[in-house]
Amino acid sequence: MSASPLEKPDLFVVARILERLWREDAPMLKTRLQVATNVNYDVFRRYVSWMNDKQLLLLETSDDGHERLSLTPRGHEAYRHLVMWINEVVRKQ
Amino acid sequence: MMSSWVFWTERKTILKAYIAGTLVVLLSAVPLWLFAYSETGFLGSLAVRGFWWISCFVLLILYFLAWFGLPRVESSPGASLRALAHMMRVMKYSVDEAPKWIDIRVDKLTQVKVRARGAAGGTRIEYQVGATPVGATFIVVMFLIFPPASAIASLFIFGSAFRFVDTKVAPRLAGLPAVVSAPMDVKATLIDSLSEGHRLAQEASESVKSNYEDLIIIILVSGIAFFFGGFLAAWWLQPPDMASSDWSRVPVAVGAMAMLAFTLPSLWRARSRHKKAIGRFERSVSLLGGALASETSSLQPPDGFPSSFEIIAGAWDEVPSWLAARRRAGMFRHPSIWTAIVVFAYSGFLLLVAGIAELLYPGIDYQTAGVIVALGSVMVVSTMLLYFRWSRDQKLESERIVGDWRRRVEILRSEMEKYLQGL
Repeated sequence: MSASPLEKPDLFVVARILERLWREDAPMLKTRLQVATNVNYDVFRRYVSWMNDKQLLLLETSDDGHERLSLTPRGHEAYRHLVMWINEVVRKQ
Repeated sequence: MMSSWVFWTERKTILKAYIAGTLVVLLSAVPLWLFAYSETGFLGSLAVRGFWWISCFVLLILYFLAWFGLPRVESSPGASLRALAHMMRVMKYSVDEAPKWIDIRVDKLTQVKVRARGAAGGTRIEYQVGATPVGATFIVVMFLIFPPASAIASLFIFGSAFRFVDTKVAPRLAGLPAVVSAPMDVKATLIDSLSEGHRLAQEASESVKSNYEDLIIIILVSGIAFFFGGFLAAWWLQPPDMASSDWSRVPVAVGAMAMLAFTLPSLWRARSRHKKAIGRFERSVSLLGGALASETSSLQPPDGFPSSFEIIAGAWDEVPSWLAARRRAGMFRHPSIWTAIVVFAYSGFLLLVAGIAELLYPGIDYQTAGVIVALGSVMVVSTMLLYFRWSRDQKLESERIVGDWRRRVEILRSEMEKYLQGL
């Protein structure tokens, strides 16, 4: 069953998923990422689907049938962009 | 501003010279003090105090205005400072960064200002020993009460700063990048943001604690004033029989009751008002500190732990209260104006007590007593005017800063959301 589309993504949830994947050197198991980010599974699926559509992350199914996720260059760039933005705010107080 | 006049290779010699200079000032005061009190009474003691104040003032200038040189580096001034600031943040030191200098907080009392200036063959790095707001307040108060204590405290701060530069800053200068660095990477930026947030939260937390401590001191001093007020009122209403051995019993009892009636409810109210804010700020310090520790180590954060991004962005909502807390911290952030307030209040209080005591004795010169009371009243009123003006200015500035901050954050949030939608 496919997840219902996301209308307005929550900035913090997107950043949480991006950051967790950014920390990993290798593709991460989908279920492992869901636990690590502590996001409700249905919500998580919708975000993964949305981020996959936007080419922020890559969803692969390995030979053992498990789904694994990794960050695309576009995802890396998006996360870098967000981090630079918050740094600007913090430093200009 | 003094330029660097001490070379890195001579740092140990200069430290010894500072220690020797301080000891000479302190030790020379002892025979002078003994002589003055035994031979010349009040004028002698005044001379000793004058000597202490002047010599300690000169020492403070030497401690806190001199710039000391460090080994030269090849990178440009801007790149050197930026890289050094980042290195210090990775080592979990709090760093306040400006275009031409950085302030590194060494411990609760000590900080070091580092500047970089272009010179032939590279960049000249210099540093200046400084005191944190807590350290500065302590030194100013000690200087007013007992100047030699301020010299000892300054020597202690000086030693801490010297040791810090020797062991933490100087060895890292060789590792500074030789060219202006490209935009910093994500990890470095996260560390910088967390460190900056942690610094703000920590300063706010210390400001609130300091405010609370200041308030306790004010309540206790006011309690003493209430004691004297009650004592004098009881004396005025029913002059005691001085021939009796227990003549002071009634005025002392009335004074003590006045003191307790004011002090106890005030202390309770101050505690309940500050406890919540202190707890909230400490939680922020701990959260940001934990995230910073995790980011600077190679360990993955535990499952379910908020992301560094969330912690920093979540802190945005707290920043206005941190900024407001920092601005409200009276003695803590503005030692000069608060020194004036304390000196005025203290002198006014002493003059009022002396004048009223004069008035209570029959046959005393009422004109002189009246002048003393009038002078004391002027000083007390001046204190209040100074305080209210400072307080009004702080409130206006605080409202402006908080308003600006909220507007900026709202704009940024909407830009980020637009960015995500537009991906």
